[in-house]
Amino acid sequence: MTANKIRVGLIGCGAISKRRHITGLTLLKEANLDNFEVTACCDTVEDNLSEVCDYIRVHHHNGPRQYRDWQDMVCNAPVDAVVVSLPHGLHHLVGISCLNAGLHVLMEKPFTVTMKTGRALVDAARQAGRILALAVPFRRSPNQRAVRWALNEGKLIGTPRLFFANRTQLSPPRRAASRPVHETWRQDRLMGGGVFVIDSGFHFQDSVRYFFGEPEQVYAEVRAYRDDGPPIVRHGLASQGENTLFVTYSFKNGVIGTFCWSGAAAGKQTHQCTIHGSAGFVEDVGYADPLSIFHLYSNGVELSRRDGSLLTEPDLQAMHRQAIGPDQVQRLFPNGVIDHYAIEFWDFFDSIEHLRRPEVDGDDGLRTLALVEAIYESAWSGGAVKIDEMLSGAAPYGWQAEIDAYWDQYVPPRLVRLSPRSSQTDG
Amino acid sequence: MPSQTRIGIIGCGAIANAHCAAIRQLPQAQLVAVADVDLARANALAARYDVPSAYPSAAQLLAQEPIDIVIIATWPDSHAHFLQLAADAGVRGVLVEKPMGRSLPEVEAMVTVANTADIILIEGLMYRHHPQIALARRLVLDGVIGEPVLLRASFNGINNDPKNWRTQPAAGGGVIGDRGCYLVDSARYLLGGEPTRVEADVTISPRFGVIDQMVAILSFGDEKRAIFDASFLVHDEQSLTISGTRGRITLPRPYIVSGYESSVIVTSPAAGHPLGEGDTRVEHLPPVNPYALELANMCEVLTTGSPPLVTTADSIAVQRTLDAIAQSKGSRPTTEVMSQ
Repeated sequence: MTANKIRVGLIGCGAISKRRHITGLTLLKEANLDNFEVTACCDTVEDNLSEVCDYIRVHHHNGPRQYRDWQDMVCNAPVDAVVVSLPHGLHHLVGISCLNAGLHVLMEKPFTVTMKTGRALVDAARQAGRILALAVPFRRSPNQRAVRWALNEGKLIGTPRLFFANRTQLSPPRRAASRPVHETWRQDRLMGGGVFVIDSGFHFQDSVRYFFGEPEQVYAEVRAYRDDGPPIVRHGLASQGENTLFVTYSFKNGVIGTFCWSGAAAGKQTHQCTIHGSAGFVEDVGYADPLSIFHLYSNGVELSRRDGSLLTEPDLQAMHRQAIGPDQVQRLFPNGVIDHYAIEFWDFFDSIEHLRRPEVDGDDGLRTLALVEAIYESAWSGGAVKIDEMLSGAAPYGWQAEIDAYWDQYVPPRLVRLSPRSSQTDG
Repeated sequence: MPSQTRIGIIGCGAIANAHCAAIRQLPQAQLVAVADVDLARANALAARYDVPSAYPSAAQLLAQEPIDIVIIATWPDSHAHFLQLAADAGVRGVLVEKPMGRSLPEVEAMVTVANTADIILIEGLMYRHHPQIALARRLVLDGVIGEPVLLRASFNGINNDPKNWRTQPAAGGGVIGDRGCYLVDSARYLLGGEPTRVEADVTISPRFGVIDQMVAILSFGDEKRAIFDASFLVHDEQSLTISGTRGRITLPRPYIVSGYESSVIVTSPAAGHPLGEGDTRVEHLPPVNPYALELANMCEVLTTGSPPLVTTADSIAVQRTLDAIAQSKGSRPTTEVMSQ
């Protein structure tokens, strides 16, 4: 049944796996992009594990093996590649072990929790000669593809100059105490690496790199406002996750921009995501969705020009497709698939099949992580941080040093796979 | 494995492609034949989707192929005719593209034909089969936004192609049948109940003679209102918000989601924060093919006898309201705004 197909193991069957990974994989099979089988799944939460396995059994007509211990799965499961969808702090440990064991890895965002752990993961992929890809789905959506083209090759708004991205709302305080740990780890800085900047914010950081190229520097003010005391700033953020951030960017191509988010702003909810150029601007029109500041253009986009013309979502997508031609359309939207999660998996599988670089590899992931960590280090240190210095190791390293100190206690286990190519699935 | 449901399609235009792609996703269904008066077009569609047979007329398809379900994907002015042919041929189910007919008498007559021949007749209000609509309805019924009061919806897009049925009065064109059916049905489904009064304004295209824009207020009794606009004159736009006494639900892509994720956004006031619009939660639903779900529903109805999601009573109620919208222009007292 799985002859010549890439055998995939899912490590972590939580929210993103249940809601979008398995449905994205099904869309690929429906589009005849069927070069894989999900042969193993792993989770410590029994309900998640059975839900994902039941879904695969029904929708892929294949019964994956079930594991409660990821090391057991890596050693014994019939897999060639794994998808790591775990709490952020575990990414590098599990990823490095999988790569060392000879498996290809699709890593969920935000790659890792610090630059040090990120470099270790990239090094492991290089030494193992295996594919390491990063799951950043939103750049693969039709609207982000079209906007990148419009800003660059299409030159539809002239020279891009600046962007504003802001969202304010009043989020109720989180009641973490009574919930199990697999639902609360995002609030734990050591396990999450931070809160909004590194979690949902990672999507935004990837998107601005996708649109504008490499960033020069950032300056950030990050706060944790509380109802029962003064706001928490700087090093105090280690004890309480941020709920407000103001970031100012400059990019190497001259674009400047701001990214502001607050869950502590009483009053009217505000939302603006615009990119302004010398001859027009691009707007996210899905303002009602509180996550669209992170998942840019997922609910709609419009492009207006100084000559008075307006391009709606279908206009812009049609123009993009016509400009790049059918071969590029097939590469970006294989067999007509436009679901960004499905395309992310297709790119991973296709890179394994053809031994090519995935669209977003470890080095690329590390660059987006550098932007994320530059924001935290700027907030931590009080000054602007250069991205190249974050990449070279010359930048301030305080926020991350405390996280590294925790994870330095753990070493990725050396795992040996038993008869890695001889196993068969249960299906 | 039980035998597959055999499907034939009459009319090989744009929407037929959507049905062909949908049938491919259904293991319980098989597309056996397509028909179009333009045989070349039927042949092209058959080749594109590996359909065994293509015919130059519906009559030939129905005479030669034993089929369970007919999909009528022709222009609205021919829907009733092909329904009668399908009834005479003894099919069990007919999925007729929207709008089912061009007027309430025509739709009622079609429902009578279907009932007399014991045919399951379903109008292709495909948006209703998307899980986001079921989720929004469940949230309303669960009282998440308190009492629903106002529903506002828009469904716009430029249409100026003289070859398209939408711009041809004789074919049953116009924005009311094309887009109004979705708007009216969504208001009934999400607010609950039937509209008791319609106030509307429509404009007629000087070039094409069809209604090319409608703005309507539907009263659902008490203070419940639905406010709509649909236009062929402005750029693509769709939205739906249902506001209640304790919050609102927004669907950014209520009618056509295509291959995208969909979002169901619930905003509620925050307790203790009188300034706040408060808490916003969003449910992202994975992409689905509503045409496939629509056909799956038809297959299930034929297999199990369960009631269809979109009933003929829905189609009659929607058409009754659409007729009222079309007729309301000039029939009500208006106050002219005087220039100073």
